[in-house]
Amino acid sequence: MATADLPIARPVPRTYSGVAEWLTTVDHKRIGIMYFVATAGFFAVGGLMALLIRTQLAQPDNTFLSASQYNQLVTMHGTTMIFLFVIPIWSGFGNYMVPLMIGARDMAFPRINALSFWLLLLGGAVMYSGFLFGGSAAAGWTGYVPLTEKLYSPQVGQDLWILGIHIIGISSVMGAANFLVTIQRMRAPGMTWFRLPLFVWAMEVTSALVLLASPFLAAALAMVLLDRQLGTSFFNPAHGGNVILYQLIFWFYSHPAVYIMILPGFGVISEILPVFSRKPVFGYRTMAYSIAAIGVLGFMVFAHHMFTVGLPLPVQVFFMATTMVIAIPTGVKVFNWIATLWGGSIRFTAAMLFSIGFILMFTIGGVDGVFMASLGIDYQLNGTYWVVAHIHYVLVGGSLMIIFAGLFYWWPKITGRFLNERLGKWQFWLLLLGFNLTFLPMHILGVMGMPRRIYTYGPGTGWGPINAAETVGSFIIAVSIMVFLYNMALSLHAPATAPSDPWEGNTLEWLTTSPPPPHNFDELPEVRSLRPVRDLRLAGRPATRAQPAQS
Amino acid sequence: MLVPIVLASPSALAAYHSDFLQSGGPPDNRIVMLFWVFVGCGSAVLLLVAVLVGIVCVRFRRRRADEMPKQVHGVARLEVAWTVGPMILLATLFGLTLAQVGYLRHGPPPNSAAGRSAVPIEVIGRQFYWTFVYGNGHESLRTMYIPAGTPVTLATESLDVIHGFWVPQIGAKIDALPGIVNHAFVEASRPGTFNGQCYELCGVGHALMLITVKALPPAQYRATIAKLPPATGLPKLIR
Repeated sequence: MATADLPIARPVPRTYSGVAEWLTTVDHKRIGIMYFVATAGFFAVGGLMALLIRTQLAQPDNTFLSASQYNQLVTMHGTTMIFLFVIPIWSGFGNYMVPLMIGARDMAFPRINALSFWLLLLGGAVMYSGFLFGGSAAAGWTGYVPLTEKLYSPQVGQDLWILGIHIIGISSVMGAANFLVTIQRMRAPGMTWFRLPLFVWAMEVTSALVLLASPFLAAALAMVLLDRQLGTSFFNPAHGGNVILYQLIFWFYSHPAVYIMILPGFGVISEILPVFSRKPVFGYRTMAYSIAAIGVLGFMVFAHHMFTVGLPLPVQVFFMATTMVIAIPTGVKVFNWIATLWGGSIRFTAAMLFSIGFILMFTIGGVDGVFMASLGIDYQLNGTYWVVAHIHYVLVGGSLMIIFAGLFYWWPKITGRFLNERLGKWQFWLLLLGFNLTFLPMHILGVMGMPRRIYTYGPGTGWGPINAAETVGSFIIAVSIMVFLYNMALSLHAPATAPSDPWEGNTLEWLTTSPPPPHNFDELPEVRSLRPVRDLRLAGRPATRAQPAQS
Repeated sequence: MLVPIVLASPSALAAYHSDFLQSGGPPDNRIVMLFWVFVGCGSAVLLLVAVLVGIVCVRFRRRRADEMPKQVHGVARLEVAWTVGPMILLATLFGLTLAQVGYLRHGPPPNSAAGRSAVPIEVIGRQFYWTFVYGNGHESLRTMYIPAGTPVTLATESLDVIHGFWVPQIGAKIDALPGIVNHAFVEASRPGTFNGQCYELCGVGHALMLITVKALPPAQYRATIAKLPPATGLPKLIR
């Protein structure tokens, strides 16, 4: 059979340059970068709020902030870090990496992808605009009714907070649908479900969680909005409403949201450990199944946030059981990561240090969480600083650590440049020190009876010295973040020297240039294992270099 | 890892009595027992993980640029071991907790001698103070009087937003909800003062919504509540 070599006709899209190019782009890599930049900005805002909060709490009877300012900052710090930083930065990683790792040209719906990003910015702006109109939301990121009802929170900032979260919710639901379709339909030839990189597995399960859970949050908040604006009485007990209903619906979203914030991190670490220890991930199938198991079980533990609201005891016992069960797949993952390292040839890059730090810190966050799964112990620890310690061990010791690991790992791919490893190690040790100084003592404060979300406390409580030490810790964290900023600035001014595969990578993103051309790959090998790029390297074939984009 | 830090807690020196490890009565005794069991198991798990990670970091660092370790894709027996091991541990912790929750939430059975002697008190939260109404229909604000050595059954409600009633040393915490009456149970084994405060964000005065509990010998308790002013204009939860 005769074949003819014909030039491939690629449609030439209309191109812009400069700012207009970024404003109009539908390229997954550029959108991914914009997610990184935007979420970094939100992280800075949320971090500054945290420093203000810690300054207020540094000593008893402090008057640095008023109660009203404190409640606004506590609310906006939590909301910012959850909805505008951790959740969307995983969209940034997913956007940039998922199409590359599965060997696709782009996301399935590039325009929807761009819309998702711009809605995130809009949602953030709407939420913050409350500060311009008499104060932002101030009822905590959980926004419990009836405190958020108009009678108790008359400021328009509370309405804007709800609308902002609605817009962010639309953004993440569209993003999730996009990831699901991309991963289902656009994998490279030979990439079966069990040759899929674990980060892609994690994004698949995370996206399913987002798609299924987010509507519940939207519904709960819509009911609050209707109560506030139209006087419906979903949550007004005087007219037959029920205040517990809000919590049930809210946590039906917000517990899965915890996994939305950590599962992609499980995926990232499962990519990094094998590369820097020159071993395959230990128990790949178990890892994939446990991600899926956590996704399913994640919907069945939500009422453990509500052990003190007076639910019937059998209901509480059910949720205690499911909560303890979900610790099992999580524990399996920790041991599998350690087994991946065991017997390996470990190279301690900055990305690897953050990954190992993650294993240790996340384990603390897992163990102190089991305390609160126990009904008896939770009757004391619920609503105290123990909870604050736990959530930060999961989201800072867990998510943030692995976000930095991922940034050090993929920075050369994204920018074509390296971050300074020495500065990265300084940043890691400072973060580890500051983080533990800030959050480890919070366990003690919880045991000593300090409730969360109080703007002041008396000198007789004995909580002062511990709080002072924690405030010092929080500023050490800030210093470590500044080391990272300096490192990024340094790197972006250096020449682009990163080769296509600087770390001896396993997955397809290391096959193309750093940074990749707009079309990602000129040609793809058939995927025959979990580590296609390693297969090529061992077979003596240099990584295929994609040609630079034609201008 | 947690053990030395929790032990070093200076709260024993503080005048404010809100550290639940300094138990003031039978329900908190049970929670303290559970807590130390969890600290023991939790520390063992943390220690195990930390030691394994430590060994890995020392033993398996890369020594030659060209070394290629054995490619182990998994060992099924090991994975079963670290699935079943935590299962057994968690099932034990579950069972230990389960044995206590009925008592912690409801107190001694109503038909037992202790249950029959229980004293009811209504706890009403509002922005930003607590009102306590006793069986004789009298009320006190911010300070709750209880008889020492006697179970006290609480009925809680809120007149506005959600508040949380919590006095750590004498028992479990419970929400005070608008429109829903909750029941809880506390007991102090000796006369004394116990501190607590609202644990559910309730507005600008949240941090100032303190609770002082004075446990008195029973005769003195009866004399004290007899002299309090009568409660007016409050919903009757259990009276």
